[in-house]
Order: sequence, then structure tokens, then C-alpha cells
Amino acid sequence: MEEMFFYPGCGLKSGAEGYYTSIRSVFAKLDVNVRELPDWNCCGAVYPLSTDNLIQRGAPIRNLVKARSQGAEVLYVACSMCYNVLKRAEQFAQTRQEEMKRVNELFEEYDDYSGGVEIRHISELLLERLQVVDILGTPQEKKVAPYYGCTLVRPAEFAVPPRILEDILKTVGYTTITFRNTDRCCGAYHSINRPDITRTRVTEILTDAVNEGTEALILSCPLCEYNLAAFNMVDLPILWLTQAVGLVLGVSDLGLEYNRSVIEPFTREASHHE
Amino acid sequence: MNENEQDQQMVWLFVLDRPYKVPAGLTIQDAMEYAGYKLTRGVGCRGGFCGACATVYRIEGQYQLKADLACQKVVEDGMHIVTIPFTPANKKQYDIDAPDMKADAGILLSYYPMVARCVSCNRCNNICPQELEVMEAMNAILQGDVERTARLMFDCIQCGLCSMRCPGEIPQFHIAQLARRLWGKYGESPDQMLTKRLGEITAGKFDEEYDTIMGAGREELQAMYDTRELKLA
Repeated sequence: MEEMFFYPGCGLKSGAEGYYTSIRSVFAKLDVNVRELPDWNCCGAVYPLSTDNLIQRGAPIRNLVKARSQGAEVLYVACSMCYNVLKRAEQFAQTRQEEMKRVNELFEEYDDYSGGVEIRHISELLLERLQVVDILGTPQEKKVAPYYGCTLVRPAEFAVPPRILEDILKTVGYTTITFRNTDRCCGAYHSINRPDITRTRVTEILTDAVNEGTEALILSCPLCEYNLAAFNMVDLPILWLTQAVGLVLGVSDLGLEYNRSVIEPFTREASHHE
Repeated sequence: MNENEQDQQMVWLFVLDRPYKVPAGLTIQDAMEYAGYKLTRGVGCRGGFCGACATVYRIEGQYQLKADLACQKVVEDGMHIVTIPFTPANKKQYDIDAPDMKADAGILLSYYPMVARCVSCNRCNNICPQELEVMEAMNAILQGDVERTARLMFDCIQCGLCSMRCPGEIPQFHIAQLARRLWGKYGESPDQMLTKRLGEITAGKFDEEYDTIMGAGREELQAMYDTRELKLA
């Protein structure tokens, strides 16, 4: 059984439990053991853009240091924001030697870090495993639309491969829709101080998806999910990537009970195998 | 130089920048009293349990500020010290019995939202005189795991040094106390031994013995103490 070093992030432990549950179940079906990085800490949530406030580099790079100390060559991340922050932090560690001298002072209990842990999104391994493992979902009419949001695809040099979510969903038998707002910002943290901004954004995104014929929205970002579910005026089912995959592969224990959106009858119909 | 000093190795200690020559081997607390200080604040159990004697120090010739408990740390030559009787960190008022209280990380975050400002710099762990994993305990809250926070911080003595060091202005020791209270009251299942003993007390099992002790005079009490049954482990 292949093993994947996994960084869950805070979101998957509080709020997005259904994502984590379905990641474990689906990867087990694909013969991959999910090994959670021990003692991981918050990734920092937002990649710091200031170049002189180095203490903010501590959180993401500490996770990379821990991963390396565990012998991980690749660290897989599910949350889009964690993926973005950790992947950019790894590049920082590899390329900014002067700053890293000072950042390394934060990690006195470890050897100095200068990069060496590749950050990948779980969708990358998911697609690879689906292509080698001989299980296919039931071809079906169900139309689903991936929603990338911001941090999975921006900035471009850290983006997951183009249309990878469509590729995964098509591989397991869905019909996919790529809608105009698929990578439009959900409103992010505006939901705290300016919920009106988030509500407007979410309504536009969901309405667009529904108008294109989408029957369920598929995503990988806990913050997007939180916002989309909170202002889901059109009652569009919202599912985690691995839940959507698990449904058609006949995987049980997908953590569907945690979902904040109404997902019936979509999930029942999608998992119906003739 | 008195006779003691000739026999004994002495070290220099600087209390609030005033120099004192004190015997090596004393704790900071004992050394301060040797130097003539009468300690009324910043002193407590003298046994490393109460956290009242947090002390920040620097060794002459070094640049790092370090910290420890004055009742535990032995003086070193050239030690500059200042005691921190307490840390005036922000402590929230709450009613642990309120109906909306539960063993949930959301409660901790609503009282102490600054937990989310943790940058994982590890300063709290480095300064903790109890060598607790404070940073991990704060991260556990973000991960929704109140039990982990409570258990990691079980031995916290509330000295407050962590929050002094924290660039995120997080009062870790107050947060940990709330986490322990929430977990103890709403998370942990009731302790069987405690329940049994409370039942015995309510049923009056110890009333007679208690009355005997309370009614005894000083000499009688002394005799009871001297002849008591010792249960050695």
C-alpha cells in the first residue's frame, strides 16, 4: 500500500470533517494510506506578502521542517489555502537563502531548512491513482461543476494542473461543466466584517453554476465551502472533491453527515449503481 | 567578608541592577532573601507548583533573556534578575455553568479569538518553566481539539511567561485554564473514585472520625498525629 504524508490543516479538523473522512475512505479504496503529519501546526492561513516580517514565515516553514524530519519527500495537502501557503513557503525556503538564515533561528530544535519537501495537492495523487487503479465509476448523466476558487490556481506558478478537477470527475464517470465563475473569489474573509460582499459573490457564483445546468458544486477549499454554504440561496448541493469521487466508486463512510448544504437527493442518485 | 564567605563559594547576583554576593547553590528566591529582601509578592508555594515567582534573567556576558521560577532556579554567577509577580494578561470573565458552555473549541475562540494570531514561532515553548508544549496546545484549539489543549496544559502553573513572549498577544495560560475547565466539566466522563468517595462523605462514613478530631484538644491531637498509621507506597 502506498503511503501519503498528509497535512490536513485546521479546516479539516473543525468544519470540513466530511472532507477528511472522505479523503481517508477514498484513498484507502485506491490503496493509499493517509499518514497524518504528527504535531503539525496552522499553516499561517494566508501567505505573507511582506518581505521583512519574517516571523510570519515561521508557521508554514515549521510544518515543512517537521515533514522533512519525518522523512517525507512529498507532503500532500487537501485544503486549497494550506496548499497555496505551504507550496509558496517551500519555494521561499529554496530560493531565499539570506532570509532563511533568520527564519531558521526559529527552529533551533531542528537542523536548518533550505527546502526539500515537495508540496502537492491531493487532487494530483487522486488523478494518478484513478488512472492506474482499475476501478471506474458508473457512467452517468449527473452534471457537476468544479469550483476552484482562488488559492488552488493563483498565482499561476503554484497552480494545480489546468482542469485537474474536471479530469478527475470525468474519470470517475461524471459529466462536468466548466462555468464562468469557476475560479472567481468567493468573498473569503469578507464574510466576517462585510458579509454583504460575500453574499453577493456567492449568489453570483452559485446562480451562474445553476444556470449552466450544474447539479452539484465540487470543491476543495474549507473557506469557500463555508461561505458558499452560508449563503447558498439556491440550495445547490456542495460536495468535497473526494465525496463526489467516493459516491460513484461505491465508497462508504464519506462523512456526508457533516455537509452544510442540502445534498439529497443528489448523493442518493449519484451513488445509485444499476 | 564574613566567615561563611571564606568557606563557601560565592557568586554575584544583580537584583534590579543592584549587586549582591550570595552563596552558590541557593535558589534565586533564597538568594534574594539572603541579600536582605523580604518577599511579599512574587513568592508563593516555594515548591515549583504555584507559578507566582516567575523571574526573568540574563547572565553577564550573554545576550539572551531567559526565565524560570525563582524557587527552582539556582543562581549563576553574574545573573541579572527581575521577578514578575504576575502577568496582567487579559482574562475573560465567564460563567462555567452557563447553558451555552460546552467542551468545544468554538467557545475558546469566542472568548479568545487571538488564538488565531499564533505564528508558530515557538517562543512560548522555549520560555515555559514547566516545559509544556504551549504552541501545540494553542494549535489544538484551531484544530477543534479541546481535550488535547487541556491535556497538554495540565501542568500549567499560570506564571504567564508564555504570554509575555508571545508576538501574537495570546494569553495562553488563561486560555488553557478555560480549556481545562471546559474539558473537565463537559468533556471528561465523571471520575469513578471521586463519585464513590463523594457518596461515602454524603452517607456520613467519616462523620464520627471527623467529630473526634475536631473535638480533640492540642495534646490529644499531637498524640494522634504521632501515632498515626503511615501508609508508605
